[in-house]
Amino acid sequence: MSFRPASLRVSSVLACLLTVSLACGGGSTSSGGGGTAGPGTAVPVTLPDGTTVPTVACGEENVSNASGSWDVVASGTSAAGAANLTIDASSFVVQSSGRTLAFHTNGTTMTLQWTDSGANRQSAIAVTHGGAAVDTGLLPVAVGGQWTFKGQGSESCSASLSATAFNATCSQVRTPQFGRLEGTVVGIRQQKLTSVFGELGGVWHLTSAGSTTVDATISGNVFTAVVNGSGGPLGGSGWVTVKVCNGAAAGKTSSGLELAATLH
Amino acid sequence: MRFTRGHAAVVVGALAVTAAVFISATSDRAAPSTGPVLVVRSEAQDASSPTAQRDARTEVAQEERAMALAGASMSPGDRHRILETMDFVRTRIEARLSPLGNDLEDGDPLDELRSSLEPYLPTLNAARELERGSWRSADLAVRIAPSCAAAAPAAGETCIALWDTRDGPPVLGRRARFLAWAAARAVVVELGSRARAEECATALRARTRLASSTLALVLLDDDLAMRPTPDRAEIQEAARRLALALASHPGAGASAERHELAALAEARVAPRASAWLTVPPTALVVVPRLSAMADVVGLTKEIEAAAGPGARWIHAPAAAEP
Repeated sequence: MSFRPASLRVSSVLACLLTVSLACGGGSTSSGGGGTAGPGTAVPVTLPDGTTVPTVACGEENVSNASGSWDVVASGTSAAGAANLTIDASSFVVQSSGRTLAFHTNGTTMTLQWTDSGANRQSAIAVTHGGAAVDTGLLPVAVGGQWTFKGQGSESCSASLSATAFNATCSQVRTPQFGRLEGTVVGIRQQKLTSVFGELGGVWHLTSAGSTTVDATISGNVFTAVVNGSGGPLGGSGWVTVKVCNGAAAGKTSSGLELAATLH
Repeated sequence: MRFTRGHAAVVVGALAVTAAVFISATSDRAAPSTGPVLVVRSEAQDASSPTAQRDARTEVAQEERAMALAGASMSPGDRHRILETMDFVRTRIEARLSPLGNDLEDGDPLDELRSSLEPYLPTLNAARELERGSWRSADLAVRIAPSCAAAAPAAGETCIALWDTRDGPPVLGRRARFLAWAAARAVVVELGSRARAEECATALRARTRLASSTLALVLLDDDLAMRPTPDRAEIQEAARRLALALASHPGAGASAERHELAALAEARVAPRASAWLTVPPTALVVVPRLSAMADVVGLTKEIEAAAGPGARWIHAPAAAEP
């Protein structure tokens, strides 16, 4: 089987995954994981053609505290520019090109807001969260449990994350980045691996109604996803890898997109 | 006279002040006015602000210069391989489009193009970022200039040295240099002779295609001067014809490739790329990959192995600023 570089659509999707992965690298001593964490050994990820996903470098690999504000830069044919990412135990805010996605939690109150200052548009998304917590290591935002998201129209998503399974269902959701999100994605952890991301460490296999599957490996301080398929929101085949270091991160994709981030 | 504890404190204090003044006076700290600088402005995020909206013509011109710079920096062999790839992929697409044609190869020609160009993507990325000349994040606008005097900073703008990380407000400087990574992390090596510079450039350029390399772009002064290569017209014609073929290709998602090919096809011979950067004919400029710029040890080793003994760093590989 020949393994081809990702399509452009995949690279834009993967650019988002890079940001999400970076967010997962945010550490906080108040989140329970806290303190300096050795990354463990990141396992190499083999591609369908037998080669391995290339590695990236981001400096000191012992992640001590990554909570705070990050500058992120990306460079590639399909995407280039900068973003700001702020993450701590009670908030997650991404800003880029006049667009902002902001999540804040205060006790039982949660707010999620999408703002596009260029289009003078603001959308509030209702959020609920419950269920059992998951040890996510240095990840400052508690992502484990059951989630629901409801837009102002008929757009809605529900998701759940446990130590061994992930499930997300969206209905009539339109996004600038992914197009229309419709249907269900199911993921299971096939193998547990040591990681700075606690129980998220392992090999995850994600499937959807289409022919596209994703194998995500979270190992040590590295997140790698291999996309196989030709349909669905993920578009085509490709890979993305992101390494999180102490105050820095770096990543790249099979489509040539490169990324780096630094904490300031 | 009795030497009291108070006297001792005065003497120690005086010595400390003297030492500080001496260190300050003899420091090799470069003033921003003596080399390339970044002009930084902090501003609130607003996509509709004039500085946030990049002029489309400026973007096209920058992309054209970047493609020309990347092409000029490649070896004749690499340029020939790219030329062959463009012709081959165009032939496949045209064969598929023609009722009389037959594409005998397996797989999508667009995948073939992407796969073949993959080793050159770090070079294209670095050329694009180096040639950009200005960068913007949600709250910072940064532009590059040969000197503070040439930049003529406006009110609210701060001029800081590009390569002296001790210059300017620490956080602002670190963030600005990070945004302008291709310029700020560029390495300049003096080889002592033109022949050695060319030899070193050839060795390093071969490495830019390796997945394991830290290198993205290798430039001689000729490349920065944008002197046309012998195959320039042929490559531009191939790019033009492939862009046309891709416009009719039924496969989705070729817009970025078409954009890039159009820029390559239309690239004019500009007076000079990255006008803020001047290097002697005996020196090399090396831009690391964005995804490997933290690997200072790896970058240094790769350059040293090609440069050999006697090479002198004008701007050495730099680690991330604390």
